[in-house]
Amino acid sequence: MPRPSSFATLPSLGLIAALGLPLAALPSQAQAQSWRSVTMSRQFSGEGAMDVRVHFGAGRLSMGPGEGGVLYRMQLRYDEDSFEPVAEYAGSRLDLGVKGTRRNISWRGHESQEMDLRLARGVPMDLDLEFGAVRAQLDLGGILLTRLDLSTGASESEVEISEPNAVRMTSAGFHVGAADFRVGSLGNLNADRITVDAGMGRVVLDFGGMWQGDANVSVDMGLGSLELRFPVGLGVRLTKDTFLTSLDSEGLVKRGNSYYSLDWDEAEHQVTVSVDAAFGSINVVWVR
Amino acid sequence: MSGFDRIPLLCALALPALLPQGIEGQLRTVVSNEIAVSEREASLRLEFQDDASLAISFADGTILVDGEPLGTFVRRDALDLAWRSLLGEVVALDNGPLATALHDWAPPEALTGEAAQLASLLDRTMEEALALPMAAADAEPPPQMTISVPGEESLLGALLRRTGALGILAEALEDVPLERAIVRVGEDVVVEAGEELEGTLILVDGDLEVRGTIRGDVVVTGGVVSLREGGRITGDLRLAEGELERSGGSVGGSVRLLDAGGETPLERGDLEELRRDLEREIRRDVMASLESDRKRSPNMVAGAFRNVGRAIAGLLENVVTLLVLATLGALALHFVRERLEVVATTARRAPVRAAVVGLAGGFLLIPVYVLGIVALAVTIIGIPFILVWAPLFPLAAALATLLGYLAVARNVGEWVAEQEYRGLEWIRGSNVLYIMTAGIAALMVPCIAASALRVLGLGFFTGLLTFVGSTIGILAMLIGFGAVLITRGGRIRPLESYSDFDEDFWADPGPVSPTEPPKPPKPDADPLRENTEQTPEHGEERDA
Repeated sequence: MPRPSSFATLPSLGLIAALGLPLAALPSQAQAQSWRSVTMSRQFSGEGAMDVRVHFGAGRLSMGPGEGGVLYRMQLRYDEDSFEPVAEYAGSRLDLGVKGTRRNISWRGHESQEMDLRLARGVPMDLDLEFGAVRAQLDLGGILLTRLDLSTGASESEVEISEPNAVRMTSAGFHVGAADFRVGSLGNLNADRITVDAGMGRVVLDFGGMWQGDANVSVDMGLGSLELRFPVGLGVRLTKDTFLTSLDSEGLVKRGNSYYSLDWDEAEHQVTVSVDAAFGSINVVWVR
Repeated sequence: MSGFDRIPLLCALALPALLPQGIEGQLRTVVSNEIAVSEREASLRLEFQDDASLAISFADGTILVDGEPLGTFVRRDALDLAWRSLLGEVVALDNGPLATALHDWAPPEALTGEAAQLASLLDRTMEEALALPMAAADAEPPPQMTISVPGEESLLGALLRRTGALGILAEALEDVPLERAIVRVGEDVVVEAGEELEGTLILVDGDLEVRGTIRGDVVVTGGVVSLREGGRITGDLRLAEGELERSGGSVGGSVRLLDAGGETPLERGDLEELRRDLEREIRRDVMASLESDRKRSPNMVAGAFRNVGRAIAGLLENVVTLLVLATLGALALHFVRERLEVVATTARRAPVRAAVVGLAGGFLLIPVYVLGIVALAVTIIGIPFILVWAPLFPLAAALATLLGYLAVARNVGEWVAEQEYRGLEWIRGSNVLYIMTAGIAALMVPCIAASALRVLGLGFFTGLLTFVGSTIGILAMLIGFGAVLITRGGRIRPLESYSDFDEDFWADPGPVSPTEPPKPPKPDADPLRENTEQTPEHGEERDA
């Protein structure tokens, strides 16, 4: 007698379909590439608030604050057969990065592309970062961020905010596809609201840095592990809406539907973290 | 050198003549620079504070200066290597240091022949472009040359605005001696009777009236030459986009008229302005379109992965839910099978009644729960029972709902088996657990489809299917819960009136006759047994 085993194969089929189809859709190994190195920079000339957008499809990316007098300095190494640099500056809008010269460009074979971007320290900016399959190391410390929106696909990204943001930011958003994603010193962002939207992978959120106000942090995870690293002394309230997700709530006590740090009521700054996750784990780590 | 005569006039004539000595050290501010190096190209692009720019490119065997071919090179020849070496030296520099490094560059001495000439030309081009433009009033004119431009504007600015006429002006200036040139831009010149002018007169965008003598050549572009009585030009007269009015007077040399295809400078200027406007407009539209696309789809790659992740998570969630319910169904079949059958029969025979009872029961759950606690609390003897009532009542309600849901799922499974869908034939011959599992899966189909559709990111359809799935699930629970209440947890077998309730509920009552005799009671048959016997697909009896 046939058995309803087809139901049991659904997860496998789903995984195969989800992971296999995009790979199968990719063209065969990229052709020989023609590398082009470009260095671009623009002098600071009293710009006010700016809207900066950075696009980078695939490769290695590094980013950080620049030297005085320079609005941006960008060094690129890319395949000129498939990509072209973007450096458009008009009004208060600045577009930087590399974009494909045609549709449906495979990122396979373009892992060796490189981009190093330095942005001015003293210019308030809404920063919109859009990456594909990248290995990124970003240091946003020292850049005056009024808004941050980072969107990345399949990446291994490490974001560090090494210096406190001198202006209060209304919102910071991290949208991650399949990634090993780490954000360090979130406190230095100086943000009212932080949103992390992750598909699958491993996400580490380090809440270190200098907190200058309370914040709400919202984390939406699909599949994967989430590690929340809190500095001792920070007031933390954790609420979760999870499905088959384990929680290691070290150092937190449950009150009602939320988990609180022991010093929540006395803490100078309080951070509320809301986690919506399915299939994975949430680990809380306290850092001295 | 073939490329030399194609150098823009700006480089060939005006700037070398205009830039005074000692300008080094006073360099333009470079606001933007771009250095690109690849196998096929090595280029430099500078933008200056005054909106001027310089672009030098070695690409595909051609040297381009501001888009104009300057000469040719061969990849990896001495000139190409020298240029790439320069770019390598300045790639890390900005603004001042960059301008100084480019300005101070000297062609390698090893270069010979045409390569040396081109390198020298490049050197001069960069020096000229990087040097600060001087206002004519402040500039000390070189010996043997006078320059005049209107008011506050610079000659360079004036010439740059006349780039459209530079080509024809260059043609007009061919073979004209420039050692003793008098240059006037944008102003009229009058040589009065008895007055003598020595040297070549170059007049750009101005009219010339000659009553006296000009001892030399005259080149006029974009203006009218009026040769009056007594007026004399000893050399040649060349008119580029100009007119000649003769009322007496003489020209010692030849008179040559040059025309740029009938376009007037004004027309060309207008066209240039129009072109720039169009470019700006198109760029603005494209940027707006890109911005719109970007907002609609911030990151396709990230979005796709997020969708896949959520779809997998949703499907896994569905599968786990299905497995959990199937496991509970197996337990129910093992421990309370008879009650489950009674509830299922009731739900099948009187679904509307069961749903109404279930809805009412659902609304009454909390009041009954609270009233129960209050009732127990008012008596001393009842207080200990609160400890039992408080946890057991919600548990009982949950179990009742679960039992009812499983009973409905069993009915749905039977219905699926009866449909004889291809690939699902195995359900018909299966035991009751498989039938129930199939029923649970059927009830969850919209939710499963919603999860799968998340891959495509179809938010509306996903939401719609989720809503439909939730509605079906709630309806199944209401009917099941109602059936459980009706049968007191499956202990009371369905009454005849129950079996007829739904038929009566939906049937057309027709004319009601008060004299109609009451319906005779049906034989007291066991509906469950009857149903089992009449529907062979209910094979649980056989399998059991």
